[in-house]
Amino acid sequence: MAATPECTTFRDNYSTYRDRIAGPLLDILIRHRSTCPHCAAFDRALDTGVALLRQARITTSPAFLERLFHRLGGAAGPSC
Amino acid sequence: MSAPFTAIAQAPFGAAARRDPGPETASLIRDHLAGDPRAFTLLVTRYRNRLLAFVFRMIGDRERAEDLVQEAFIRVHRHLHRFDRQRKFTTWLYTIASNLAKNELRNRSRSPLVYERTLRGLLGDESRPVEYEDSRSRPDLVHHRRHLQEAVERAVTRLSPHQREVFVLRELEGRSYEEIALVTGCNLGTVKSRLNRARQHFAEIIAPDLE
Repeated sequence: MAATPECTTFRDNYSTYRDRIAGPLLDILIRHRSTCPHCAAFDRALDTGVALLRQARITTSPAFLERLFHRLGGAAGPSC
Repeated sequence: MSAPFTAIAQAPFGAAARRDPGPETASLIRDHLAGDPRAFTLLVTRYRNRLLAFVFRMIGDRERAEDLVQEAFIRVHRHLHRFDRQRKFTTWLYTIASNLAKNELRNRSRSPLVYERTLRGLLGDESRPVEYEDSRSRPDLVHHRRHLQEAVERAVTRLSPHQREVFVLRELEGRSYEEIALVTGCNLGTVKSRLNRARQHFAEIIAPDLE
């Protein structure tokens, strides 16, 4: 996917860009992201993918607390 | 490691920063240890869903993930009196859950049913499939979104266990680099390099589906 040496720098230091880790490299990475379509697509792919993952609602089953406290031998109790 | 990196690494962001009110958790722990029977229930209620999400993403099996989350809370209950309250509770909790998930993956690597079970969990062929916020859109858009959601869930399973762990802790749980280092038992440099590789790998896997 990387097309230029700058693209390689962007991918190799992508976490610096994504987590906005302050330093001289960050400005270079932000500039590159705004001008390189390949790296912009890469960044969008990660953003979109993570956003989709965050939409998932993963919840415990209704009997979770009851089962837990049964296993704990009634130590507390699912009273809340 | 540079000072700015360390500063960022120590700061939780987004959901984790909002969802983790330290003093309240500390008081629940104190109340539980003082004999309040409701405190542990409140503690479990506060963390059960996000712990389940973490373990599910680690092992790819919804039903088994719930068993492991139960086991994690049993260990918390058993050892809470020894927990150093100067430390962050979530770090301890995620470390327990992470170790259980890694043991599960190790055990499963010896079983031929691994792949089948993982797919079953991802595609919702279980009593409690993964649910998404959606539903009232046009059927074709719902179908497309469902396809993308399955693609991203599969992409997570294609990361190596080490990459998956740091990816989920950072991108989905919003844990700081510092906390991820403590949970995984790695130094900050290793966390950063694993996370960078995981992000690259994940983006490369899903890019064709998003084009």
